[in-house]
Amino acid sequence: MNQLIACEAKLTVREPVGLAFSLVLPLVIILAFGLSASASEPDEELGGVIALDTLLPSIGLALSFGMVAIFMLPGFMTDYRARGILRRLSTTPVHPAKLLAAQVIVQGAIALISVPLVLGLAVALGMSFPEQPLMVVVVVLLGGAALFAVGTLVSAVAPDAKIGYVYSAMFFFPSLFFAGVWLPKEQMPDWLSTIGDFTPLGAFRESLENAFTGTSQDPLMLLTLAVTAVAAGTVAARVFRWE
Amino acid sequence: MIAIEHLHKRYGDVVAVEDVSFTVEPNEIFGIIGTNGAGKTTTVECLTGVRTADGGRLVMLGLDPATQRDEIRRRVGVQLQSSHLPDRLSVREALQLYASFYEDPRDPDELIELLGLQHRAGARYGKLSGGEKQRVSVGLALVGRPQVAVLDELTTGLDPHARREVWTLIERLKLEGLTVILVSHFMDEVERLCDRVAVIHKGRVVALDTPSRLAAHGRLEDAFLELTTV
Amino acid sequence: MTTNLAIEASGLVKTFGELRAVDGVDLAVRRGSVYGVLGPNGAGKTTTIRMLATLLHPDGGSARILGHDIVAEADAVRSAVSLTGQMASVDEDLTGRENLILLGRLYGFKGKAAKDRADELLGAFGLEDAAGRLTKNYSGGMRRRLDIAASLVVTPELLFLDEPTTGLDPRSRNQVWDIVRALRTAGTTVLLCTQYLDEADQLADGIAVIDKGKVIAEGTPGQLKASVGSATLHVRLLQGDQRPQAETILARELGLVHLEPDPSALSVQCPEADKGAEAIAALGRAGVGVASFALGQPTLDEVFLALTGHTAEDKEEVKA
Repeated sequence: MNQLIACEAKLTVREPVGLAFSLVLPLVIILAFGLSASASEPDEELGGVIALDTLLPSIGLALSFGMVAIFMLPGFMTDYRARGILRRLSTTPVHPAKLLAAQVIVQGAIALISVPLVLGLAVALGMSFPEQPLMVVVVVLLGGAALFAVGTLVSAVAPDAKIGYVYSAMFFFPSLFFAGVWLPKEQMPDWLSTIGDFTPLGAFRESLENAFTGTSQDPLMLLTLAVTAVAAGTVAARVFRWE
Repeated sequence: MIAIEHLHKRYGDVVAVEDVSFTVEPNEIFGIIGTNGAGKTTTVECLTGVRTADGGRLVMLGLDPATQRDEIRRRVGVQLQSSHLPDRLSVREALQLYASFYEDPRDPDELIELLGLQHRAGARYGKLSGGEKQRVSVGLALVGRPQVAVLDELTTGLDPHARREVWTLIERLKLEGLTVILVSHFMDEVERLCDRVAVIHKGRVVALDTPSRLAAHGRLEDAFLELTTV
Repeated sequence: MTTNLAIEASGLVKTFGELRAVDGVDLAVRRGSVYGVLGPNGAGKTTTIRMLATLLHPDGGSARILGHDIVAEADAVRSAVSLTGQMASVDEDLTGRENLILLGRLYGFKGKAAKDRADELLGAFGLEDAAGRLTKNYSGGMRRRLDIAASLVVTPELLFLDEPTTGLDPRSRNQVWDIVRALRTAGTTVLLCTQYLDEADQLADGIAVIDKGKVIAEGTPGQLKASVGSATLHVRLLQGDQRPQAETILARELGLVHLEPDPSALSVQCPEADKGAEAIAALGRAGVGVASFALGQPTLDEVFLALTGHTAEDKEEVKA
């Protein structure tokens, strides 16, 4: 198994474009917006909170986790399926599920690396240190599980990389909207904002924000993450096609 | 002990394998030839457990491919048509990875040399020629030091030198005790390597004998064409 | 300007960095002939073909295809030439007929003309029954035939065929060979790249063997075989266990005997037919039963191996 993980890690690093998007893009966004003065001051449009303390770092992490779990993971797995790699593996003593596990571990590690990178940059730019660091960890793990479960589901059903990309995009881009990345949630009508709370990416981002500011968590959002993780994961396990 | 009795497999309405029976002796190189779509690939897929049969009895090394796949996987190396590796993986890395799946694998570097790929050992799979990819594929089936190797399209796309290198490798492994089931289109290969060969046509075995008796003083290819006239 | 040569190449050179993949290749291919290009993988064969097909610019030398220079008149070359490779150039999600009609229309056939042309090709290639099925469901042989049909929608004057029967069973191979012969009869020039030397032997009027970027041998199959060695006497015995005896007798009569992989067969170099006949008679006198014997020229396989025999260390891969 270790050999498999090492192999997948090597292969992932050899695709620098995907890595760059997942790790560097969030940093670029935080840098671009975080440098402006208004980011460090209470923002009326956001209901009086400081963007750098709340919106920016949570968007950063939502992006990195989202891209790794929803694009990179399915990208690799669907490509492997289309090229007969999974089929080949099924003739060896190593079940292709182990390959999936190795990929999840590698991509998961990349996502976790983004946490200190994103938060580190934000703090350097003036973000107040998160009020509830332990809660941040909990949310990261729960949200990561939910997003990776969705990514695994996409990997399970898409026959090749092209279609996989379409499914990933269909989930990801609307999710970004509902999570308040294009338009701050404070400016959305209530019903729209509520829908967003029940999307995994939206729940993830909001819960992160709550942990940063010390606001108590909305149990429904945490539940959304847990339910997504379990439901998507179960369905994926059942329908995963190895060919 | 490898045996197939009255194998039957259909995909919906299409009967891929009507009724195929044969046994493979230990340490034998057993060839399977037939026209495209005759059921050759489906037969070996059922034998290795990749597909489930609809009828008939299958025994691979004394095991049931339907229920004892894990044990079969440890002892049978399979080279499939059209299955690839990640483009960015090098030849050596691929063989090392697959070697790690087995308890007593061959040395990947030794195998690389036997396959004539020493000068491409560090090259990434995506950059290999078709013939080189083919040889890597054969290597992956053999690196686990299997008791049985099931090979489909052993030398397709290889130039005459490479072909002979691979044939020599298989003959050498046979001396070490390997049993081979070889699906092939290439009559020269069948004549050179196979102890016996089965001709499958329209889902049935229409002939089973040594290549020279099958050829009966003529060419194996002519015998094949006669046996598979529509 | 018409010339009776379909391909004239002179001193073609192509380098990739430090590597001279093609190092001075000359070719002369008559119109209406089938010309085989053989060579080990990485020898410069594919690169040469690509230059001739105007897919690559030569770094040195020149070539004319059907009278047109490959660099200066590349468009003229492309419009008269068709290329098929191992990679099928048809769309898997269309039926065979749809693929051919699509190509027909791309080439300027209108409506009914495109349909007619498609039907014509389907008939010629024995694909009428499968015409309505999706290409992804075709067998290897059918797919290859469709691929060749696709490259003939507009009948080219020159067709490059790259390994057309790789992976096909003998029946399908023979069908493809018949197609190639029919093309030659109709006046198309065919440049055939293959790893199956008996294919080159059967089909080609002329052959060039390329190794290490140069043409190392050129001629008709007969000439190449004659250049490599003398004829060989092939003997097959009625009983394999008499082979040791047969070996002794033949060695005495003719020289070094080669034991064939087939346990009842042997072969030995035989410079003159008379001596061969005497050797067979000697076997008969000794009570060794002979099932068949033949005096044959070296196979093209033997020619190839003799010409290009070099160790693996010398081989280098070229990736264009």
